This record gives sequence, C-alpha cells and structure tokens, in this order.
Amino acid sequence: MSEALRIENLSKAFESQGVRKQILHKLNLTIEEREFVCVLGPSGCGKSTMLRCVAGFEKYEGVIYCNGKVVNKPSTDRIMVFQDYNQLFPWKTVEANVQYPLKVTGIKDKKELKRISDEYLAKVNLTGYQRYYPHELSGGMKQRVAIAKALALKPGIILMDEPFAALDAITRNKLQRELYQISTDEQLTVIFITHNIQEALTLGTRVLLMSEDGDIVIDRINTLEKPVKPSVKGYGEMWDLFSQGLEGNYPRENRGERRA
Amino acid sequence: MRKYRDLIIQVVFVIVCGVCWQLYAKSRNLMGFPSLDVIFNRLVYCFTNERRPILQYLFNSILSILKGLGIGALLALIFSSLSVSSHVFGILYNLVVSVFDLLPGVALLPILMITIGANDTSILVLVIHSVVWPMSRNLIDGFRTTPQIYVESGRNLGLNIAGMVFGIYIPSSFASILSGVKVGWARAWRGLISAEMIFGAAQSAGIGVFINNARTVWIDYPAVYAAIVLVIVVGVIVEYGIFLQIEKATIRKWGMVR
Ligand SMILES: Nc1ncnc2c1ncn2[C@@H]1O[C@H](COP(=O)(O)OP(=O)(O)OP(=O)(O)O)[C@@H](O)[C@H]1O
Ligand SMILES: [Mg+2]
Repeated sequence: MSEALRIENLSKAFESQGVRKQILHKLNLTIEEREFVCVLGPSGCGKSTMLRCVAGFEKYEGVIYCNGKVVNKPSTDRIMVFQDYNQLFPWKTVEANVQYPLKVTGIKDKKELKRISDEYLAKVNLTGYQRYYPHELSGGMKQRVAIAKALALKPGIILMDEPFAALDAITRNKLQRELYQISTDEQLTVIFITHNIQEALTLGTRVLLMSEDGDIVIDRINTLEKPVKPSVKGYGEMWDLFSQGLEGNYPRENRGERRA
Repeated sequence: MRKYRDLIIQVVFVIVCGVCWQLYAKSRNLMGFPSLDVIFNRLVYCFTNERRPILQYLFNSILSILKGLGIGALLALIFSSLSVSSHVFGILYNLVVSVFDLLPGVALLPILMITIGANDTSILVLVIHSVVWPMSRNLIDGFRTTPQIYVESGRNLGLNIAGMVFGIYIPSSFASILSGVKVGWARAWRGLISAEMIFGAAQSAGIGVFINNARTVWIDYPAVYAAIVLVIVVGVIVEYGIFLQIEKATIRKWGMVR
C-alpha cells in the first residue's frame, strides 16, 4: 500500500470575538491508499476543521501532503461531500451536476460525459433521474447525487463530513450499505466523519477517535467481519471502546499517532 | 379554479372601465378625451400611414433601451464583481450606488444637455443611469448571499474568478439579478420616454417624441392616446412575454422561488 495523505504537525486556531482558540495542536495522521477512515469525536472537537484543512479551504500551520504534493488550495484530487443536502447546484439537472466538475477538469466530449454520469448515477441507484432538478429529489437522493459527483471525478481521496447525518435511520442504513459496496468495488480512499459509532464500524476499514481537545486518541484497524452487524464477533467491544471514548474515557497509552 | 375566477374578475373590471370610458367620451365629446373606437382607429391609422409612422418611433425607443440595458447590465456586472472581490472598491461603490440610485434620471437632463448635448448619447447615458444602480444593488446582494456551500463546491473544483462568477455567483443570484433587470427596465422605459418628450426631436426620434409631436405639432389627441396604449402594450409584453417566461425557464424550474 502506498500513502495517500500525510498530515504533519497540523495546528489550527480560530479567532472569534477577539479570543484565540486553538482547535488542533500538532496533529499527525497518515492515511494509506484504499483506507476508509472513519473519524468519531465529540461535537466541536475539530473534525470538520481537520477535514477543511485537508480540503484546502482553511489556512493552517504544519504540512499536509496529498499524493506527495503539499496542500495549499482546494483541488479536484480531494473532493468534499458535505452534510448539507443543498450542496448540489439547483440550477443544474442531476446529470449536469455530475458532469459539471468533469467539464471543468477538461472532459469536453458530450458522449463521454453522458457515459460517465450514467455510470456513476447507476452506482448510486439513480438511473432514470438524470433529468430531474435537485429540488425534485429527496434528501437521501441528493446525497447520492453528491456522492456520484465526487466518485465520477476519481479523486485521490474523498472527504465526507457527516454526509448521512441529516437522514432518517432507514435511509441512512440503506446509503451506508450502498457506500460500503461502492467503496470496496472502487477501492476508494475516504475520510468519513460521523457521530454514529455503528456507522463508523460498518463503513470504516480504520476508525479514529478525536478527543475534546483535537487529538487523535484512538486509532484502530477495523477487523470486524464484513458485512458488519451488531451480532458479529468483537462488535460489542469496539462499540464500548468508542462509546466510552466519546465520553472522554479513552485508554491514555494510545495517545499520539498509530504506528503500525 | 381560483386562478380562473381571478381572471374573470379582472376581465370584468376592465370591461366595466371600458364601458364607462366610452359613455363619458361619447356624451362629452371632448378633444382631449376621445372614445375607444377613435383611439383604436387612430392606432390602426398610425400603423399603416406614412404621416404618423408610430412603429418607427417605437422601434427607435426600443433600440435605445436595448442598447442602454445591455451596456448598463454589463457595467453593473463588472462593478458588482469588483465590489465583492475587493473590499475598498466594495465600500466605495456602495456609496456611489446609494447616492445615484436616489437621483431621478430626468433630473440629470439639464446637465447632460449642456455637457453632451441634446442627442442620442445623452439619452443613452440616461438609460444606463436608470439601469446600472438598481441592477448593481441586486447583483451585489445576490453575490453576497450566495450560499457558502456553492462557493466551496466551486473552489473545490479549482474554478478561477471568471469561473466562479459565471459558474456559481451568477446562477446562484439569478433571482435577484432578474428582479434587478425588471426594476432597471421599468425605470429605463419611463426615463427614456420622459427624456424624449423633454428633448423634443433628437437624432433618432422615439415614442416620447411622437407623443410630443402629436400634442404640439399635429394637434392629434387620439394619436397621443394611441401612443400611450402602445407604451402599455410594450410594458405588458416585456413583463409577461419576456420576464415571466425567463422566470419560468429558470428560477421557477430550478425551485429557487416558491
Ligand atoms: N470559522 C470559524 N470561526 C471561529 N471558530 C470556528 C470556525 N469554525 C469552527 N470554529 C470552532 O472550531 C471548533 C471546532 O469546530 P468543528 O466544526 O471542526 O467541530 P466538529 O468536530 O466538526 O463538530 P461537529 O461534530 O459538531 O460538526 C468549534 O469550537 C468551533 O466553534
Ligand atoms: Mg463538523
């Protein structure tokens, strides 16, 4: 396996109302290609901030390498999928939303664009919805389009910030299964932020916990048998570990970066 | 159903107004208050007769307004893009817009006459003046309220400034741009006709000149009314035939307005 992303000594502070607040302190993290890394952590600990630094949306201290190149601005090799349903452009059809980034990156041939968008919309089970406008879709369908749009670009890494958080439980489970299938088929490299332990254990090949003060305090390879169900061996222990961790009770010796 | 009923109410109202008009006009027989059939006949006469080439006048007005709208919209686009990308330009332009937006174009006429002269350029400047400020207001407003998530989606694709403006900011602000164009058009259309009436015969005489001539030269009041009817018809066509259709083909289709 080769390295997809390396974060070295990432620090980030925000200044608001004249008060400087340090969110991330010298965070280190290395992600290999084809890893599906789920990040858990209490609200406000800095998960989105880390992801936004990786995406290139924020200035930061430290260094982030993506495929060996230093990250200093957004780029299509790191595509963000947001939590907000309204990330699609309402003025474009489903199909045009998927095609637009491809056009921007230089694919001009109409047939080729059509072929790619059809292929990826099929992967997220949206064949037949090509001509719909986003406002004619449900929240779950919009998130599927957003995923198809990200996949179609074949980015080095996909950054997902709680993409399913606003969905109802049934839709959420369905999308988890779909995403799991796609990620194994396509051998995706993903950072996936979530509040949901079940979701992290289902999707992740590796699961991290970020503590209240923005450190990665648990870093586990997910060895649970796939497909992950609450009944598989070891599920309960993993669940307890992260559930305790989210409340601030994590094994202190695990501090710092995982060394394989 | 309700829509249908509303339409009937409106039609009945218009008919009642027409009948009242007709009765009054017939009973008094005033020169300044011709009956509807006289106005209508005059309109037909103006359409067909060389001596009152109303369509030629109308065409001139529409041409000036299209030119003015085009240039005004372009200027508004450039200045608005600059003012959202540069803070200093933004605050200065904001000031300029608030000052000039309050100034009726007709009030500028004496100055334009003395500096530029009573010609087409003055009229063009006036139309641009009526368009540029309200459009800028709406554009800037639309740009500023473009949802962060669209902006970030655009940045994620590595779009440059032009790509962001045309790919993200403009479509996302389409609703306010459209209302800016509407306000701009309405002001320009009114401003233009007033200016034409004040100028008298400019180089290419518009419908305002026609009205003025009908009143002072030809002493033909039915023609004045015919011109007014035409001005209203153009307004209605633009409002329902053009703006409404654009709205239906864009923001309504996109679900960006209720
Ligand atoms: N633009 C900003 N300006 C000032 N403070 C910010 C900004 N963005 C984030 N913060 C602060 O940084 C901290 C971390 O925010 P972040 O969004 O990364 O948390 P999170 O872990 O993603 O939380 P959640 O799980 O609720 O999404 C919060 O305390 C927040 O107030
Ligand atoms: Mg967050």
